[in-house]
Amino acid sequence: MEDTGTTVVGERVRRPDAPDKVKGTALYIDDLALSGSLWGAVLRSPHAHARITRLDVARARTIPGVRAVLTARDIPGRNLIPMIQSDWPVLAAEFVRHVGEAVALVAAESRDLAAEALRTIAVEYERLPALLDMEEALRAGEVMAHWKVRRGDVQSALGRGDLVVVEGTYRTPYQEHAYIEPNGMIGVPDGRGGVIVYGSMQCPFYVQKAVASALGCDLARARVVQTVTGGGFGGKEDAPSAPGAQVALLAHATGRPVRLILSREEDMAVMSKRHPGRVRMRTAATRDGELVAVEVDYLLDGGAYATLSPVVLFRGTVHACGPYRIPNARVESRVVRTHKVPCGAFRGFGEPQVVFACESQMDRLAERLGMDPLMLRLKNALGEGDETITGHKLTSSVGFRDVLDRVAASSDWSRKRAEYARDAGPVRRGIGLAACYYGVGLGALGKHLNPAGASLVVAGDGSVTVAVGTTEIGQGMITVLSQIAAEALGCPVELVHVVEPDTSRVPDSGPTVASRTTVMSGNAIRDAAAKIRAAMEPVIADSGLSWREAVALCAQKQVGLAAHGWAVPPAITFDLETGQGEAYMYYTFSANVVEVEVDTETGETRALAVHSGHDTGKVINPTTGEGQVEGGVVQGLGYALVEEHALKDGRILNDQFSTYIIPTPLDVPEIRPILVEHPYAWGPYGAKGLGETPVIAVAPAVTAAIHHAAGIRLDEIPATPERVWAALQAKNAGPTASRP
Amino acid sequence: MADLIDLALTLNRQPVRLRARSDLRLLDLLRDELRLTGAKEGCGKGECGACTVIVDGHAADSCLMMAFQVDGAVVETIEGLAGAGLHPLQDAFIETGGVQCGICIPGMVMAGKALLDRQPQADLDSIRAGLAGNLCRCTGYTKIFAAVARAAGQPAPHPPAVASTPPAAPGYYRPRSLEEALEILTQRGGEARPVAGGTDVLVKAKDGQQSRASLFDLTAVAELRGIEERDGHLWIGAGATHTEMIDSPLVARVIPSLPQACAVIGGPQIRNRGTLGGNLANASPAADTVPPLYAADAVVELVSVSSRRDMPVAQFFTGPRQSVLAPDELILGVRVPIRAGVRGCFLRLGQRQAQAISKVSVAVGMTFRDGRPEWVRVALGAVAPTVVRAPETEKALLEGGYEALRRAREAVKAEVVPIDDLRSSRAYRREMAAVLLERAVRRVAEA
Repeated sequence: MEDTGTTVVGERVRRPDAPDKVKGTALYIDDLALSGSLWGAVLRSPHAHARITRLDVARARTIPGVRAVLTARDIPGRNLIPMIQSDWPVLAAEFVRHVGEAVALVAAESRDLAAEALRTIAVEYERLPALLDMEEALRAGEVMAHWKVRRGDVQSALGRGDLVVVEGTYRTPYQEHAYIEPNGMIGVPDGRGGVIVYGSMQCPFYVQKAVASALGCDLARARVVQTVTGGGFGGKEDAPSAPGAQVALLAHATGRPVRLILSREEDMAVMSKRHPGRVRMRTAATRDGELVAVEVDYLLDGGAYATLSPVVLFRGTVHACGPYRIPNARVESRVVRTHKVPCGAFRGFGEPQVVFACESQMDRLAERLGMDPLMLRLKNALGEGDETITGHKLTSSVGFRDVLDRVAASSDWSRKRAEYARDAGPVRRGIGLAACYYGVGLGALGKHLNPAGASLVVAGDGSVTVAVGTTEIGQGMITVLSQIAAEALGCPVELVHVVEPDTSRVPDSGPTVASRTTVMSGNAIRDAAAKIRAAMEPVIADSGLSWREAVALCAQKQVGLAAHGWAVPPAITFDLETGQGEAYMYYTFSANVVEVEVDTETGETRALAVHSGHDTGKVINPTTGEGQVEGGVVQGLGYALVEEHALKDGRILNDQFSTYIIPTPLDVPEIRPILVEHPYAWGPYGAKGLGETPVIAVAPAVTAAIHHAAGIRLDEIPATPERVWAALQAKNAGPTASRP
Repeated sequence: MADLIDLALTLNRQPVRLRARSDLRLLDLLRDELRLTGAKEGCGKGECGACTVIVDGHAADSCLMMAFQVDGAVVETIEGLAGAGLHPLQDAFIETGGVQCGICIPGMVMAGKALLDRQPQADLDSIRAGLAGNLCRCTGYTKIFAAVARAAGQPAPHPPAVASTPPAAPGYYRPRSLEEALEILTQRGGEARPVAGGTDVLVKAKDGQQSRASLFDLTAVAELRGIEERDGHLWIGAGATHTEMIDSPLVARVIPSLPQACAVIGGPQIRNRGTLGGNLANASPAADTVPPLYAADAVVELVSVSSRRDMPVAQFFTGPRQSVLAPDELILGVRVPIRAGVRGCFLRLGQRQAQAISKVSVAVGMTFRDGRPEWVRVALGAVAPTVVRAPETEKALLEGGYEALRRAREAVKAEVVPIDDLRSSRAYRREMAAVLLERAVRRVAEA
């Protein structure tokens, strides 16, 4: 275990990036002014599935002020974005496979001219039948990926007569990331055949691969720099590779800087979303509440291209049964191809869908057993020495029971459970619980992207430049990594400057996802810092010099203080055929208690309080940690109560903030973040990571609370007033009427 | 093509004079012409509040204002907030951890400043309401509330700015009298379109349904402003904002349901700019100010160069997004008979607590004699092609008592003709009309 005598780690250090943000001087992509830059724009498909029978850009090219009009034929490199299956074109060539798919690009001297050029492009389509329903796509065999878990013998277990079995089919909607900054990129020709791409993104190395591939140039000629990014949540993981490659093509073709900034409507229509899901689940337990077997059939709608769907599905697959001891488990999961917008990464990454099902099952099971839902969880909770359903034996840092105890205490669970049950009258309160666990990092399918680098340079005045390959997207990376760098170097945290990620500064460090940044970049920084300390120690010995004095002495003795660091996580093994092995290196654990008030006449649900507990290992900065929890919980409440997309013929109907509803300041309850610290030995100072868990187990806690308040089960979210009201109508109509 | 026009304003306490294209929004003027990029464009439709600035002391979405509308105004942006040091709000956002990705923060800080300038000791409820026009997707708002609460009561570094720059008066685009405004409509009939609060017109412009180059401003037309008693009536100028109606004791006395309706519209930025005339002209069946007007026998006053006519509000609307308003006419104001002892209530259901368009709304107006209903008006929004009165429901309610209320609930369900749309379903709306009716009547009776 790490020594806990830290001085900077664990403190509420102020965010170094906050002053510029509160002054309005932080420069986001749309704030950058580049002299002579052109406006880029994208012609997009109006159809879900069609053959392009004519695409004539000749007239558009003749408009004065239009500098480039590009189609698939004008791409010098490869017309496929490098991703897991590399099936996603930069520009549609013969077929369009979703509404909004890019067909042609223009660059012009003004926004108006770019729009005019788009209108002038002559394009004709032959419409083709579109697969718009995931069950239909499954029947049609359009499976992009299929994973499974086989543990024990589910069939025999379910055949036993002495078990209590509950089952259900659960549906979850699209969820929009709804970052307040739409996607945007600027491409600048580097004068030597390459392009520098600046933009809003989570993963500069993904964009770099897309740019190099489209241009047909070396990765080193495709330099990518992240600008201050206005929110990501997974939406700027895979999706920005498309505008990144597109803007690079335009910059390359025109020899001029080109800006491509999406409007809110365009962003909502074409950028990635959380996959809609359908889960069938059977859960069996003994009469005293010991889980015996779980069977899961998990289906996701991937949309037109695979992007990250296979790994999104994988995460959901291995976490499908929750943080419980389950001797027999069988999971079948598939993601199917439809003619809709490609879904991709979103905070939680394939877990929220299946956790909604799994935890709803646990609440149902508790009811059937006449058991307190908290007791059911505690009885089956994973602890040290237990195995996950993939047979991963957890040997350390399993704080799940502590998390359950802490959220129960914070919420005064038992008392409120009894008190709220006595509510009469039209408005009734309820309290519900849900839990999850989360394998941190890229796991068995993403091992090749696992390592991360860092570059540390100590200047003569003692200030330190830290470059990493992961990104600040609001989560607090700069703050946390500054603390780790200061702790590891022994320097004042104010002297640490984490600079903008730039692919030319550090080796490919993988994506900024999966709660991996604190641990991976943090360990890379510690590696580099150790090298610098090793260079310093012989010079300063035990002289008791301050940091600045020590640095000055090193300069005097001609000792260079700079180093690259590299972090490679411990190896894991996994068998995809059986779904057995170490799916991820280690896990964080989370539970939420949600209190609601249901208006049984209108069906309106108001969240009153959320007690959100997380075992995240050592908390590097409690303020940014709490911020992650509060923000994730509210995204989870949105998912539970209001957020969904409506589509017609594959077209998203609600593409703006007045129709895609996210919580406002008047919609949020009291949120109590509870951070439980079971240190993880390989993590920097015992940290595990936190970004994802806060969103995952919110929705099932909300619907459990609604059930407690109003006695209705919702197997589909969001729990809109219409849905709650309809369920209440069915319940009041009596048991015969409500039976299907 | 857009003209070039002269503008003058006080921006962050400095006089600014410049020439700019007439079709720029205030947000474009700030970001593109003046390179003040603190205000962000998150949606361009006044939904996210990331572009919030303060105009003449009120928070406003700069994406929903035309640049010519700030001629002569005092405008504050995030860039002008810090003096020698940071503003207490900026300090508080840093100290409490209220900042994550930061894209919403300039708008949050400006909305917070507008709130604290008016209400220096704002409590948590006021803070939530004051920030309700601003979306954040990172923080869950908790630490943002804490930041504003921390700054509340701390002395602001600058005294409130005072208008000092005389307007450049860009003629055509900003008429100062009704006569001028009507001339513009007549001469450029069909081409020139008026804009006031911009909360509907500039949303349509973003969707390409309205050219910004053809807009001219009504907010400087003196005859459209004001809320007053005239000849035994309440008169509300078409240019009255939702905020002004909320703040008016006269409105609260004559149509109690109207300020209640105004209070749930949008967020502070929308209420500060959106006007009664605009809400009428937009002719949405879900418009929240309209059921109260139906439930108060309001009359809409229309005016053109050659005519003036009065139209009972129920005859003003002819369908969804349709009204009798002619292309050369303006809405002058609304007249409401003053009825002694009137009580009222407005209730609605939306998809969330702020920034929501109504799924169903109910306005009730009643007077009582000896504890029995004497005069009853019931109007409903978002349940028919226009806002509707419910005469059978009113008749039932006149009887008084619980049985009457039960019959009224049944009657109202028969009197509405709701549809399924993105916001809700027909069946739910019909049932909720009855639920809201009962709740509104009970509130009125118990008032």
